[in-house]
Amino acid sequence: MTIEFILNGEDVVVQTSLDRRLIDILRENFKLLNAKAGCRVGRCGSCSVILNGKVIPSCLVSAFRIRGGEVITLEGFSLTDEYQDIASGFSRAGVENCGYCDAAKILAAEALLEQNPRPNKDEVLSAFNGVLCRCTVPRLLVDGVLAAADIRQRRLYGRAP
Amino acid sequence: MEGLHNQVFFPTTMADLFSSWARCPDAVPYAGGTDLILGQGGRSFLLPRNIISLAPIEELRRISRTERYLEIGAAVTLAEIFALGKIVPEILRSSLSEIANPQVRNIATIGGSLCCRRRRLDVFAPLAVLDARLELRTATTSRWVSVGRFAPESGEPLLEKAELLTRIRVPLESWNYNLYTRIGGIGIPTEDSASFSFIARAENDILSEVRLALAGMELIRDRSIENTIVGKSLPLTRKHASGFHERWRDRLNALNAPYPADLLRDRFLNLVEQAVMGLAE
Amino acid sequence: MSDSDDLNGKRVFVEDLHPAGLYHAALVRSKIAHGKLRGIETPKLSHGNILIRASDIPGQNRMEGYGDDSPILAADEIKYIGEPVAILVGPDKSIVDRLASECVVSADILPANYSFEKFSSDRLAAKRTAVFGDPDDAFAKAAHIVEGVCRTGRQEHWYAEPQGAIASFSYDKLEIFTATQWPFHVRSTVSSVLDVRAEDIVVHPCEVGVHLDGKIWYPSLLSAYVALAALVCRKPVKLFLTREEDFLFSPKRPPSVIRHRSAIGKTGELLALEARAVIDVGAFAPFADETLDRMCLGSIGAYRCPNVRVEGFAVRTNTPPAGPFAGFGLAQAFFAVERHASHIAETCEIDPVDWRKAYALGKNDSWIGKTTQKDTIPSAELIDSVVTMSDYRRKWASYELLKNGRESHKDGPLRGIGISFAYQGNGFLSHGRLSGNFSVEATLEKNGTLEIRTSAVSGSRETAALWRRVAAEALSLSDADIRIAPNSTDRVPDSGPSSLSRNVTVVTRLIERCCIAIRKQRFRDPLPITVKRSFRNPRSLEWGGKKMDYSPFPLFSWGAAVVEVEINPILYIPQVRGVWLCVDGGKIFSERRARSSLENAVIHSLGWASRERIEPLDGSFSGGEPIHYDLAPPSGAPTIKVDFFWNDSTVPKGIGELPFSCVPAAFAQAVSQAAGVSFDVIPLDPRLIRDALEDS
Repeated sequence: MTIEFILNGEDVVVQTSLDRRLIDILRENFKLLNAKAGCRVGRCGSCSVILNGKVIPSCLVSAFRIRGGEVITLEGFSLTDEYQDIASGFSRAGVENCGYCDAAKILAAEALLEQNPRPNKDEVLSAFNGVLCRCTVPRLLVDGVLAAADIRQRRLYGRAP
Repeated sequence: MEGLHNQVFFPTTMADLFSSWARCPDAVPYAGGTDLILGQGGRSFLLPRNIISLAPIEELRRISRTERYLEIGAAVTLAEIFALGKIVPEILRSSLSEIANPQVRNIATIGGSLCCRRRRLDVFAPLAVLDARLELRTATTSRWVSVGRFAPESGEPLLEKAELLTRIRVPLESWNYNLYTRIGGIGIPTEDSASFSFIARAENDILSEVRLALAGMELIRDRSIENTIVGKSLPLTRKHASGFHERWRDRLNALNAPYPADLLRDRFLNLVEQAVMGLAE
Repeated sequence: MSDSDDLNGKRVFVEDLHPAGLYHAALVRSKIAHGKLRGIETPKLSHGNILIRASDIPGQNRMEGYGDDSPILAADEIKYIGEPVAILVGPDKSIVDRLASECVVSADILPANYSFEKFSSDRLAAKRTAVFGDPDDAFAKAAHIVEGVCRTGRQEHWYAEPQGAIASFSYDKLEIFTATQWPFHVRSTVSSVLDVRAEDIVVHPCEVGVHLDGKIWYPSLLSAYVALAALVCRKPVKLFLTREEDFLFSPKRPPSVIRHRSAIGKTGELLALEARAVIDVGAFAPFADETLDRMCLGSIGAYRCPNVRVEGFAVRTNTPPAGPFAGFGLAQAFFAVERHASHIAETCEIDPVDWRKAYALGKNDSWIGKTTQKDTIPSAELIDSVVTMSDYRRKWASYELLKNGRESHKDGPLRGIGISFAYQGNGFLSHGRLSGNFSVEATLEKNGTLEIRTSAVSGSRETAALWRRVAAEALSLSDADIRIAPNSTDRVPDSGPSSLSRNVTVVTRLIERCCIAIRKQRFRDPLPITVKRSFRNPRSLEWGGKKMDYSPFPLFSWGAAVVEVEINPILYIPQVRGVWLCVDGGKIFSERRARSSLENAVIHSLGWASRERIEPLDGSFSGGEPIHYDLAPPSGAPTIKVDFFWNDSTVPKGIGELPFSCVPAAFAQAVSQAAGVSFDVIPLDPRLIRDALEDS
């Protein structure tokens, strides 16, 4: 099947069988390697991408579902100011991820901050329930996201939240 | 599930959908697909041979609200419903917030959750106690059924041939008491996991409505037990409250029902007790 | 691929590597637990697809396991469900997977053993017995005798990236890419299997992340498969497991049963202690010696006891081979001995804190026969710290009152608090190649920069930072002048397995020794100056009844933990209200890193104790696949407070395994107090909590 969609801002076309997972299309057809196939059952979050504006587990999405849609991977998101907010916040808090879960954690943080610019600790932790990685230190994750929220507020409004 | 796909239909209207379905009667409606592919850890999916993608049909993604009802298209995702905020009844919001994880909730749909064949998924319990109604349509017919009728206690949802769940109508009533508990690890549907919902309303300190349901491998609800404390004054006496709890225990024992069993049964009865004791002196 | 500056810190995962012309491998696995292999029927193999069997192995069909060697491919006897019997390789992954799944392995079924608690001697992979002093005499004189049995379950590593390997010929070398904790073990395994010189194989370690010791030997097995396939096909070959396959067949923490019996004197002192530890190592037992040694030592605990009898048994079953997991057996042992210590305190009606403080080992105390503790053991300080931080005494007394005063479990909150004390043994114990000779090299170049060469791998950038700091201090260099070479096996010496805190202890010390040696030479000899320093365990641990007059571990780090819980009486689930940990980790280079490492380990140790459950059914883990494995989500994280015992030690010690030894027993003690019933099995089963509450 021929599937047309927008990938990181560009119109693309891929020929693929419909039973392929989006994660495999992104990694194998487009060599976008930041999303990883960590579990293939939608639990670990390492395959997270943005599909039609929502962070989803790309391991649970069949090829035909992206037809006409828009996909943004971490590679695409990393070019945005929003990414910088989160990366800076994580860095400030000393969040040291293993590297495999980068897409999971950054996009989970973005999904939360987009909906809730001023989350509390419990809201942060709940937002990461789809990120199951042994490298996670919850306290640092909270610090990192709250720092990112602060950075974003200052960037957008020139003031602390 | 069959082997490799054969074709996928992308209807944009309901008319297109039924037309495609008539041409290919074994095609499976596919919204988020999370339940259809649940647990498949292999490299590729094992998908139904023929698929009708519901995503392009705008009508199925519509949400509307009147003073009395919230109407949700069957292809609306669980995250989208949760994001509606406080207009969504509290018992339903509580359930939605604990299903799977935030990423999965962005693709899982309410229609898909209701049509699961293996079991009653979490959202069943709050929708059952809210007395939500479901619109089921074929190419030529349309009917509304209650959630309880749609899925009997066990077994597959009662969909006719070429019939599609299209809308969920949730009454917007106020409830004084809401208790929702998810039993089991976060995000993992197992034989021992279930969702428990209890709502009650009082008017002038008289209990006017009591509803309780457990949704897991089966849907458990008993209106006759619910009615035994309707009309009672609040706070309930200990006798009335413990009587309610004992009726549930007796019901489960009398039927010698295999479900819920063992630990889940005890947890369920504890939740019943917690719910009703919350209304007691 | 390491923390080398040359790679700009870019992490490389096996999953991301796709050499040109890549072929793919899939394993044909047994579907029975025990049998005599008769043959493999394959579907028609289209062009380019090849089946490789045991008979195609040019060298040895075995992987050295430091305890029990494992076959690479089953040749004659099948010993567990999922045991690889052949490799199918070809250019198209989907086709290869399909062909492999369509192969039929035929075998004559033999009876399978799944139980490890009852066993005959022919099923033993390893055995230990030792007696120190005269336990029988002590038991005869005891004021009390306390007995108990503890059980611990398996644990899945759930490292982020499933396991895999790539083999690729590059001129006259065979290159292996895999995430491994021991690159030279991969090299020696592949060399032996292919019957080629080790120097002709170059292993490039990929990112290991938080491995919890799940990548010590299994990558060597996978590397052997791809190496074989590459040799046969003359193409680069990749084998990358799905999470499901990794979950079903890769090694797990072995389950254990440990029985204790103690003779207690009138004032509560330990007169004698007997421990009998049994672990299920699965069909084969790599590293069984190390695991069993540590389990036996740990079963003795960290208390003064002049008379000891200890037995240990590593039992084979027809289940997938078990493997090391953070602590290699000490965690299981300390769970048991710390529960036992609590039972002793209870029997003697002594506060568990006071009992531990009274009888914990201290400097110059005797331990296991003639061994004398040469170093200070801050047991009192560590215990006092967690007691103070957690307000243990007040809570313990309150919860005892609550427990004794309530008529049913519905009267008031069900709370409990528990304490434990344990050590982490740094470095390997075992004899043979695991004890040495492992090296680090360093070169001070003409331009004044330093290159450090070690095969050690680390999941953390902080370890490389630690090495740089040590080198910088020794040679008065700036950070920018220090480079850590890529740790491919053609460029670095074998520094041994990166496990049991060797990176922090052994490797750091070797780097320091290299730098000190260079410092002595630098103004005397021309540059460049290259120095190599090696480490060998001073003495291997010996059992068999001989008296132990040396300390078995080169270094000990110490910890105490308090855990407070409240049981949800509706769902019968204990919820952790807080964890307090105090640790003596010697010289702490990065408090921030040490703190986060400990918090991380606390969460995983609680997971092992409370929810992570894998139980095979008829020899297979299926039914508990990745979708059901109950890992704790972030939203369930308890409050964790960490303190350090600050001293003027100049020696860094590993601390990452301490929570696994300290926390589970404290957790179980807390739940026991809350429920009013003793729990000695982990993971805790809510059914047992229910039964305890309902019976009360």
